[in-house]
Order: sequence, then C-alpha cells, then structure tokens
Amino acid sequence: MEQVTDANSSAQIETGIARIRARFVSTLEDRADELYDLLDYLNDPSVRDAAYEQIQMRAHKLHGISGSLGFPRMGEFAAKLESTIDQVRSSDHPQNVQHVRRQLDVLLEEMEQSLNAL
Amino acid sequence: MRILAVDDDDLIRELLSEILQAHGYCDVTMADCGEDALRKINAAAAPFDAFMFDIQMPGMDGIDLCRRVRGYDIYRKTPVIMITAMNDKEYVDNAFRAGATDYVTKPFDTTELVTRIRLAERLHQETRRAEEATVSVLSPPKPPYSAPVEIEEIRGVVNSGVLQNYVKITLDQRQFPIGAFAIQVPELAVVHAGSSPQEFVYVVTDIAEVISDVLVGAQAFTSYIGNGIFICVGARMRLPSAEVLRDNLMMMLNNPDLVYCEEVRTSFSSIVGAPASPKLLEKRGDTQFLNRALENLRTAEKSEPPNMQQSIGGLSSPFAA
Repeated sequence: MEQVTDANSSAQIETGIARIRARFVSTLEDRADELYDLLDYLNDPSVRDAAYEQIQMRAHKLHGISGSLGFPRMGEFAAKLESTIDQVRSSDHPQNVQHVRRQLDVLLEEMEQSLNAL
Repeated sequence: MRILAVDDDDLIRELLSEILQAHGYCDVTMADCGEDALRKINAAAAPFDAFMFDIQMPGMDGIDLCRRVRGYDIYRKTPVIMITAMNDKEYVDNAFRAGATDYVTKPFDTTELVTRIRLAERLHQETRRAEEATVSVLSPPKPPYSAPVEIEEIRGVVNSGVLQNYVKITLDQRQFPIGAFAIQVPELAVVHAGSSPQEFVYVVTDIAEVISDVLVGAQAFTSYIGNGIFICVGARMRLPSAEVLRDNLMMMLNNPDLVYCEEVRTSFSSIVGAPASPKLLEKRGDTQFLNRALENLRTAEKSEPPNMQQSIGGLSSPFAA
C-alpha cells in the first residue's frame, strides 16, 4: 500500500515538476536578456556596484531553481558567478570586472545551450 | 500539519507546494517575503505547526524573520526549517543562532526535503505531547539526572537534535573544519539530587551561559545532553585547548554572579575531554565524532580523583551516524 502511495507521489511530483520546468524554460530568454543588459552597466563605475547586486540576485535565483528542475550545470555556473561577485566586491582589483564578465558569459552560454537543446 | 513556507521566487514556492502536497501536506500557506509572512502569521485563524524560510530574500531575510517568529510565545518551539543555497555558508550559523531547528538545501532533493518535513512533524508532535503532559499533571515527576535540559535564550546553546542538524549542514557544505569536545560538571549531580527541577534548570542554564561566553569567538554551539555533560561544536582552529578551557571555566563557574544555586551550596569544577574531529574517510554528515568527544571525556575522567568520576555509560554513543 505504501509503495502505491509512493508511486502516486512520484507521478504527481513528476507531472508538477514538468509543468514548473516548462514555465522556467519560458522565462530563460528574458532572464538572459536582463543579464546581458546588466553586463553593459559593469563598464560604468558609477552604477557598477548596483549592477553587481542585481546580477548576483539573479544568479542566486537561477542557482536555487535551475538545479531543482534538471539544469544542474546552469545551477553550478550561477553559483560560481554569485560567489565570484562576493569576492570581487570585497576588493578593488582592476581585473574584477573582466573576471565577473567571464563568469557571466559562461552562464549565459549555458542558458543559450539549454534553450537550444529543447 | 499547517505549514508556512516563505520564498521570494515564485517557481520555488510552486515547487515546494507540489512536493509537499504530493506527500500529504496539503495545508500549506505560501508567502513571498518576510513581511508577507508576518502578515499571514498575524492573520492566521489557527497557529502554524512548522515554518520553512528561505534565508536570502530582499527586505527582511529569513534569519530576521526566524528571530521575529521566535518572539511570538506560541512559536518559541515550532520547527523552523531554513531553505539555503549551498553557498549561503556565512548565513547558516546566524540562522541557527536565530532559532532555526533544521535546514534544506537548494537545489532541492525531494527525498531529503520530505525527510526534513517529517522530522519537523515529529518534533511538533513531541512538543505538543510534552505541553499536554505539563498541563494535565500538576506536579510532573522530577526528570532523571541523565535527561537533557531544554535551555532557552542563551546565545549558541541549542538542543541535541538542533546541534546535530547544524553539524550535518556544516559538514555538507565543507564550510570549515569543525571539532567537538565534551565538558562535564560533576557537581551538577549534587545539585540535581538536592534541588527542585526548576532550580536545576536555572543552574544548568547559568553553566551553559558561562560555557558560551568562554567559547565566544570559536563560532561554537553547545548542547546539554544530561548527566552533567555539555557537548560543544565549533571551528576546529578556534577552539581553545582543554587546559585553557578548564582554567577559564574554573574561575567563571565559581563566580556567584555567573552561576548561582540557592538550594545547594557547592563549588563547581569541570572535566574537559580532548577535542574530536570528523575523520577523512567518514561519510559526509556522519556525526560519530560527537561520540568520540564523549569517549575523550571518559578518558579525561579516568585521570580525575575517584570522587570526581561519574558514570556516563548511558550516554556512550547517543549520536547516530
């Protein structure tokens, strides 16, 4: 009886996750566009800190949800970007922006590949 | 079980709802931020039985929310599961200090999430049974000396279950090397024998506060597990040596402004075991090193005069792997 219940739970969860996953995928393009826009702001020192904050917030959300919905690499790259921003915000090294850019590019590339693979 | 889950990401809320409902938890209220959660708590017709709080949220974060919820008398003991991403390392300590009882990590592992909710449900049921027993019996029997004591409102002092949850997440995240040691205050046996249950709790609480003060800076958590024994877990590099700890405790435990027992006149001493740490080849999340800390206490106890030695046999391996 318990096995039947477990099977029912699993089926219910799979159906639910498939629905949420589809919804997540439909947001990916917008999420990527927002990140591309923020990438430009990194060149302007007067808004750089705010851009870091916004990128980090978006990366944090991506990290949390993408791994739960079957996109573990996207989750890993988002987590890496998040922690990179943490590191660069605590120092003034001139290479910081490039470092964040590289991490962000890797994440955006992964997002595009995920979209193309569907 | 009535659950309030709080996360600022609508997809996470939907996912949580899906997983919980599929496992029979259908009475789930969702909130999208800390402020929304407090509004829903204040407006609830019946109290919630468990909470799930995302740690990192804009505005009021999950840690602040947890602290505020603990301020409500009816929610002092309600299970609070924090939802953390694996790189929320620096927040985890603060969450446990704010009163969290457990955690789940994002990305979600469904089995793990359901296990945590079931543990919360069991904790809630046990708390309710204990409260009902207190109400129904005018003079509850005195708890045995071997029983743990629930210590409230001392920074870094938690019950044994919460301590183990903290150890597991710290090991999972490989945040920093941790170590544990056990401290026994043998005179607590005399205090237990000669005082009321309430007085005993006061004295144990005073001693826990002294230990917490001595360990400040070591990011340590302490739990009283019965038989006069406290177990402490902290950042290995920051834990003081057993000798330093013992010297500090000797002074502070005998300061009547810090530890006071009205019903039994006694001085206090301490036996401190050598620190124990997780071994390289042990499974992640294995809490066996806590048992080794107790074994080290037993070894330290053997070098004490016979009148200081007490049996800790019943507590030889209380921590599950």
